[in-house]
Amino acid sequence: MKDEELVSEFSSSHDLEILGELYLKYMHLVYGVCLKYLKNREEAMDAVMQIFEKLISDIPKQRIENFRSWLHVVTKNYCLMQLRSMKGEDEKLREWMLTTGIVENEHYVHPLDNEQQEIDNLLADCIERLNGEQKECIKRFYYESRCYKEIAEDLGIDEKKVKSNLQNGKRNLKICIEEKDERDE
Amino acid sequence: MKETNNNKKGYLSEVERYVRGEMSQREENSFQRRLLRDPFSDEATDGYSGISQKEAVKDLEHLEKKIKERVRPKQRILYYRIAASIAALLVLASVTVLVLRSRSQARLADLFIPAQSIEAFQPSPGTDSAITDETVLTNPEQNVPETGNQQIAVNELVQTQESDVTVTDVQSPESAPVTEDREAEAALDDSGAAALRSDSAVKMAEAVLISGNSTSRNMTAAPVRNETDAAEPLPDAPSQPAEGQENYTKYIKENIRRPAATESMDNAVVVISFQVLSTGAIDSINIINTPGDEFSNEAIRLIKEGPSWLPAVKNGQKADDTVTLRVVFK
Repeated sequence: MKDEELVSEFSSSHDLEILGELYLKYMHLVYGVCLKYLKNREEAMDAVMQIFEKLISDIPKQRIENFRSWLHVVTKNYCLMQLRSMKGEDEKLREWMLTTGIVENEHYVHPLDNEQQEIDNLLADCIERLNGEQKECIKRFYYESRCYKEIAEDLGIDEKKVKSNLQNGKRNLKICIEEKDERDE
Repeated sequence: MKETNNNKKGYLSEVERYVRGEMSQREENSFQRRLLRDPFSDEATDGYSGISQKEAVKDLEHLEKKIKERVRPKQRILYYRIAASIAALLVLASVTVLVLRSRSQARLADLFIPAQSIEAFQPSPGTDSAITDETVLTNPEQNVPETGNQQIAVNELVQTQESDVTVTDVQSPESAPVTEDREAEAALDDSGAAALRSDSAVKMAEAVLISGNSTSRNMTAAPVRNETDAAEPLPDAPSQPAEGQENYTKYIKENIRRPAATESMDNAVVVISFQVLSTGAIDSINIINTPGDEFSNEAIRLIKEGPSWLPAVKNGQKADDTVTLRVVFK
């Protein structure tokens, strides 16, 4: 059964077993994200249980289009709240702010992930417009299939920088392509 | 979108190999690509990089049990009974070990873990600590030689118990076929991507050369080839179809047979790799990703029966080379 069907079934029946089935599908991701932010196995495991309780009360109140992405956001927000209420919040919080990316719509396939043999001229053109480091990272990662580490060594920058160049580069490409599309219409 | 239990195990062992740097360059790149378009998995992977796969599996099983208890309160009593007896055994075992090892402080922390993690199952943790104290008090009298054998036995017991609880993944060697769950996930990604472009694509099938060694990158991205080549000296030549890439793709399109009884699947992608030896012979065909055996067999047949390949040229000499193809069933 699809996630969203399970969601609506739970919303009407409040049958915990349905929600449990759904949650177990993604629990490994929830736990991983909690580990990332809370950096402690015990705390992360508590968080996984608390988030489940939160779902029980929140799901019936909300309209959820994509459960998987929604759960990601809920998980992150929960961890943020946890960090806020903990001591030494400043440091952890700052880190959280730095590492938080944008949740992409799952149904959207970025042109870079669309493994077509002939790459659009449009895309190629937009790639050329990217700033130097983003352009180099995107080309190496998507066209030469190199991994973060190799690119980092190649360009003499940090691996984290490579990743953020790729994320920002992808976002800029998306914007560039959308702008061009609009102009054409 | 099916993320079954198996799938989780596959994900975890993938994460472990990724974190340890055990992936090939190709594999690492495609894993990173998936993470970049799936922020949820990306962040989870960051999280798991801090703990071992064994710990992760153990924690997840513990959590799964707790969630199941939460949603089915009736079965709780049964769980407690089983958990309590296992716990009693484990606590006993680890307490003995603790005492025997009490001189080496460093090990203490390690050995304590089984006892601690069990606490959650215990209806009354108070009694355990009582037992612990008692045993600690009485046991130090024993001398080490006498208990040497016992110590080993108990250690084994703890280990067996642990391995009963945490089902560890057996990692397949690099060349072996990828586990099923990974395939499912990858296939899903592929079909998702394929579905979106299907309206514009009139092709019935396509074979896309996605790798060789690094030398074959010119196949993937024509528009940027000049740029990248300018940045680096061009390697000799990768192996390529004798009659050219276009003809090879055409051959695949014209000869691909969709396995019967798979009509319901919209798009299926088999990722397959093989070696082109310096003689031009094809060898070591290996399925990297597949939605099913029928698809794999068809992809293998196409490559075995297909047009010949030119060997790669390295340093001016013919050399073995590995080629990776995506065969798309539409």
